[in-house]
Amino acid sequence: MSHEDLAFKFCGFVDNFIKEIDHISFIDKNDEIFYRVCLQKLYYALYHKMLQHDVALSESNAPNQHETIYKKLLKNDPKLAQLYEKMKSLRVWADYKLDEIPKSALDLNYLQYQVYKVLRRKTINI
Amino acid sequence: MTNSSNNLVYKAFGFATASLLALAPVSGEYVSIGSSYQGNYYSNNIATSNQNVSLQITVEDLFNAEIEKFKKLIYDNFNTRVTKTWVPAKNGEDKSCLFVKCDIQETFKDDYEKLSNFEFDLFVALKNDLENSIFFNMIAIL
Repeated sequence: MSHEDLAFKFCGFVDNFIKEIDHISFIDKNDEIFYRVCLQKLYYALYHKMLQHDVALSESNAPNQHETIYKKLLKNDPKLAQLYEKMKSLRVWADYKLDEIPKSALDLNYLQYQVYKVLRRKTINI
Repeated sequence: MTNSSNNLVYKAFGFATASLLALAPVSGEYVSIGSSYQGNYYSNNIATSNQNVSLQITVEDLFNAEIEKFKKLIYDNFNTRVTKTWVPAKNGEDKSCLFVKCDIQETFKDDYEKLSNFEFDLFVALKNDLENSIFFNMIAIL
């Protein structure tokens, strides 16, 4: 599987998860775990999209690749850097933080729209 | 305490003297700010011949003061009020992303392209302030 495939699969998972949530018996769309899973997958979709366009980084074993990607984007594509840092921050919350998310204020469809838009790009200036 | 911790203390105290002292109504009275915070605090005691003014400024106070500063900057730049803020990932000494919800977002609620452009405009307008911020490296919308 390529980084591009993985990016689309993560985003596709979120797309289907949002569409099917009302039909899944063990989870409700107001459950916090629903937000946590979606945010985690959306961030990793973006992360793998970046690795797809940065072969050297994807083959490197250097630590803190996430921060390296952000710093590169900040120089070359500030709008994408903003989205990347935002999603990175939400992923950290999703996986590690215990405080509640302001669900009513967070629009998952908007985040998914932004990530999909990047995934469809042919070039990423990283 | 590490070098970066020291830097935080120095930056924090500089920020405090620049902003909180200016805001606090201290004339001739004892002032204690943020005494309810349970974490670390840095204090500065100032004594003069006729009055005793003690300032206890916590990291939480500075954090909140920076959020207020960004809310004011957003109002000044975009003429819109911030109605909600959220910091999803506070990481010790690393800077975090500040999430805000603004009144103006209601005007292009479902137009994600306009929403996205507004979000980027926020970053561009506040870029220098974010670079100088103690706690935040990025701003995004809720």
